[in-house]
Amino acid sequence: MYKVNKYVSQYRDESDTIVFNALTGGLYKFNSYTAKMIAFDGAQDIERTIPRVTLDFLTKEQIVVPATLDEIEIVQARFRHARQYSKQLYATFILTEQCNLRCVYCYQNHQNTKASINSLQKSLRHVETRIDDYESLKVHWFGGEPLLRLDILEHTAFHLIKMCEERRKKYFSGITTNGILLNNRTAKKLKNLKVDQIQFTLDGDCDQHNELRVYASGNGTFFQVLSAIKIAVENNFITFVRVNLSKHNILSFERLLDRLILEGLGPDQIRLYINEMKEHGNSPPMSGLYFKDVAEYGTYLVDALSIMQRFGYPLPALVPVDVNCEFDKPSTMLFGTDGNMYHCTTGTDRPLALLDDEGEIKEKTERMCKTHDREPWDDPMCNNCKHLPLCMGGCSYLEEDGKTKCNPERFVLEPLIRLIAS
Amino acid sequence: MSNQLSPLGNCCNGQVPATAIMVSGEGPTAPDGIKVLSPAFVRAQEDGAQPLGNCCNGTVSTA
Repeated sequence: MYKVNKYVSQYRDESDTIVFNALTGGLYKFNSYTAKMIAFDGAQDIERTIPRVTLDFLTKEQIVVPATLDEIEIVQARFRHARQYSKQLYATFILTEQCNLRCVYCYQNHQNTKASINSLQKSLRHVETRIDDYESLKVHWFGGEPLLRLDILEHTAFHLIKMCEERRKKYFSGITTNGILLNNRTAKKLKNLKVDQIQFTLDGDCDQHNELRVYASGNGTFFQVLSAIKIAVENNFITFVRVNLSKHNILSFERLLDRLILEGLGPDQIRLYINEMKEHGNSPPMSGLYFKDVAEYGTYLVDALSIMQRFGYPLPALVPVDVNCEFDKPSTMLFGTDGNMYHCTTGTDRPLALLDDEGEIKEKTERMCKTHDREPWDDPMCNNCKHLPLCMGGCSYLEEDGKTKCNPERFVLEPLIRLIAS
Repeated sequence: MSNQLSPLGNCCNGQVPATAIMVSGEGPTAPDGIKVLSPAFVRAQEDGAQPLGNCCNGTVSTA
């Protein structure tokens, strides 16, 4: 007896049917004849009615599964294994809370706080106590604006690289920067410090970006960022360009892509991706900036992705993830400027754990336990959600903050699938 | 460009090789009447394939 996997979605497309399996990421087009083979509810004895070769395919792809299988057990096993048995230790360092920009929507306080040698020692010792359990170390430099403290970055990277060389661990690193301080000399220095990925942000085309990502003077930064992106590409960094999509810049998104192509920053040069511009507090209100909710954002996201597709930028794939967020794994940590551990780059208001001078956790907070113990199916909504394998319960930070934790796919899966299938 | 990583939408969802969505027919051999637009992943994404939070942070690949 078999049943159709509960994470399979089917959408009619003229005479065909698009079939998407959220459990595996498999995407298919069935003709009308084969689509009828999986158009049934409940458990059925389909071995007699479906040709063997087709049934083998359907079971191998987990489109149909044994009727006795509870699909969520696969999801649970995947999640628990990934959370506990990561091969990689992943550390994000907030080098400074200072920033040379005052972006309109920024949630950070821009306090005059930077990591000290003492606080870094705590963080480095913590990494040192744990690295032997992993095959590699992944490091992410973050701020404020991390390039304001290139000296601290250099000092810390030197120690981490040496640590990994001595222990024969692989080392990778990337940086998020606003790009203002990136020049060829800085780029070469980052290369020498084994930074291989850089992420920038362009929030729309020139006029829209320059209203959002500004200096304290109010002057825009579009062309400085564009120049920095080119420097990163020329210096062979893997270069991410993030667009925080808002109601303010959605209309200029197409113009932005047009400009990027003209500037030689096409799909072969940069990795373009879209994120929702969210209100995380601290930013002054700006009329009409934010989407009403993630569902509304989802509709605009589909429009933006279709524009990306038209310009030849690859679309993201819809595939299952092992865990909801890297930052919720015990193998992932974010060190604040005080050397203590925080939840994620947005959740830096309260520490998750305090470290002593030797880098040992001296106080593990209830929040840390909750973050590491959280299981998405504990929430009945997630437990019953057809999209669970795609998000594994969504953002725990947003949930903690009383906001919608779901990813936009939940609200616009059908148009997304149709777009990708096209 | 091989091994392109491209995150999607909200903060915490996965990023995967974009080539995966462009593949047609590179998955398992499909029987007549079924076309594979994107192959099933043998297992879900892990190391290096997760995006990093919901603000301005970057991504690092282990590839």
